[in-house]
Amino acid sequence: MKNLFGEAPLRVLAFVLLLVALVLAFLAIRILIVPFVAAMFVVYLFDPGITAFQRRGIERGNAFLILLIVALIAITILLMFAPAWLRLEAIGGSSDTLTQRIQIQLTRTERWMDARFPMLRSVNLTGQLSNRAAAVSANFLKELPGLITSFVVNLLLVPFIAYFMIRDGKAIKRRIVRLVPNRYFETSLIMFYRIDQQIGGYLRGRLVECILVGITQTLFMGIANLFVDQPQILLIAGVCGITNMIPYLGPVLGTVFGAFLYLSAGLPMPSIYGLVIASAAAHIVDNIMIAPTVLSYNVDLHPLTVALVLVIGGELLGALGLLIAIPVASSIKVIAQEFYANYQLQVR
Amino acid sequence: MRADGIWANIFRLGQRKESLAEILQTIPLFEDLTAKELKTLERVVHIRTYQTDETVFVETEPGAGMYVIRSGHVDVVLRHKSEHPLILAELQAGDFFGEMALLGDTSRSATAVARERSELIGFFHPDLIEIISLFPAMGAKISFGLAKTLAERLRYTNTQLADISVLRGSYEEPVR
Repeated sequence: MKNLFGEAPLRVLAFVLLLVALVLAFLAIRILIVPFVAAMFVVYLFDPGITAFQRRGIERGNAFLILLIVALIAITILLMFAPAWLRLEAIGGSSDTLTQRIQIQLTRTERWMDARFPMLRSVNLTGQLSNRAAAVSANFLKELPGLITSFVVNLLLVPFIAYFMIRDGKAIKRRIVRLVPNRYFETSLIMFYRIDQQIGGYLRGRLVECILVGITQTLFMGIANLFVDQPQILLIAGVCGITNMIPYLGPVLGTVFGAFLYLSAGLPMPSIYGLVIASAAAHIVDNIMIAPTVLSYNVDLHPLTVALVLVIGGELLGALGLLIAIPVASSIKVIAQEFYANYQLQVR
Repeated sequence: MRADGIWANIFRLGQRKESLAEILQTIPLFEDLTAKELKTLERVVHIRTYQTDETVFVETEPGAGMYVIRSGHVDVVLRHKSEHPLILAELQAGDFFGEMALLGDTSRSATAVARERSELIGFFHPDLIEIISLFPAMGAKISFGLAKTLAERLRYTNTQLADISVLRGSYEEPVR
């Protein structure tokens, strides 16, 4: 009875099982990576507050819960007493769909171009662009419910994961360090500490920067609202703040989102110009004042690296991949820098 | 070749105790800590076991912190694995070494090797920083203890240097 199936089939079976396990692990990671990374952001953002509570003898998990509840209450109060122009009111206006609005706008642009640059008439670039833009916007609207659902699920999952990361993170780290062989124990301890310091500083800096950019965008759109109609300021400023995580592309993405929203609502072009000017002003303030003050750890990535990382992130995880690609790449860069610095110290 | 070095047992106490907190309390760095603070320290330190001839840390490599010997013996050696290693100190249960690395960003000045199966209690720079951040009073006590220990080591080294100078006949009164 020994070796009923022979050795080879058992190996094949083991290989297939391993493959299935790897595929399942990849799928699980793919699903969980976004809330996991988002939870990591939350952990780093809340850490100084949690440390302050811990000094007063409050346990880390409870400190996080207190801070989370306080943050939620603060946001609710802010929304309740926010000025009328900040509220998330429904956008009225034309009943045209986003696709129709884009087509109308592009036809107008085409007429304007034809009148001034007759030599471009044969190219029919606007017509092609119109079809492409219409297809993209229709697809965007079709996928919007799915995106919103996944966003809401992640929104619920993130505090849950963050709570356990905060409560048990240190114990898990200690267990991992305990498993490291004696020869590499001290090195691993130093590496863990430095990486934690650098990534913590970087992520906290980026998060504070995003919040400040969101506030600046709100203020500038509020000023623009004095001259032209600017509805949904909080929503657009929030999206601009979040997309600001993506270097170079982020501010453009946030503005494009706002412009799409205004176009679909049938708002006149001056509203869109107001939005674009407000976004540009917020971006300038960010580059001149906010980023140099807030970012304590410089982990700048080369523009080419940024493009590559965004393509990989977008390909693997879609829109959310775009959002987390840069912080993840920056973290990897910090880890690589630490390994190299450590190696240099040993060589010296 | 053996030499009496700065790691020698100048802080060693006669009686050895079993409990982790009690062992830690015999170390000058932690002698001012209260029972509650010692309990906190117990949760922070790392227990590591080393086999005979196993290296604890290597000369010139970056150091992370100090070790207290809970059981066994550890040799502190200069030029370990060379033709002429110099044993600076032979340490036993209750002794501690490597405390300079607690200050951070330093390279090890010697190699530590377990002479027999030894259990060590490790306390490291990140642990000290965490204690200073979470429990400032406790952090101050440990930092003060560390300063006292380093001063004691320095005083001991100065005495040794003076003795060597006298032996060589080159001792001169400093000009005031």
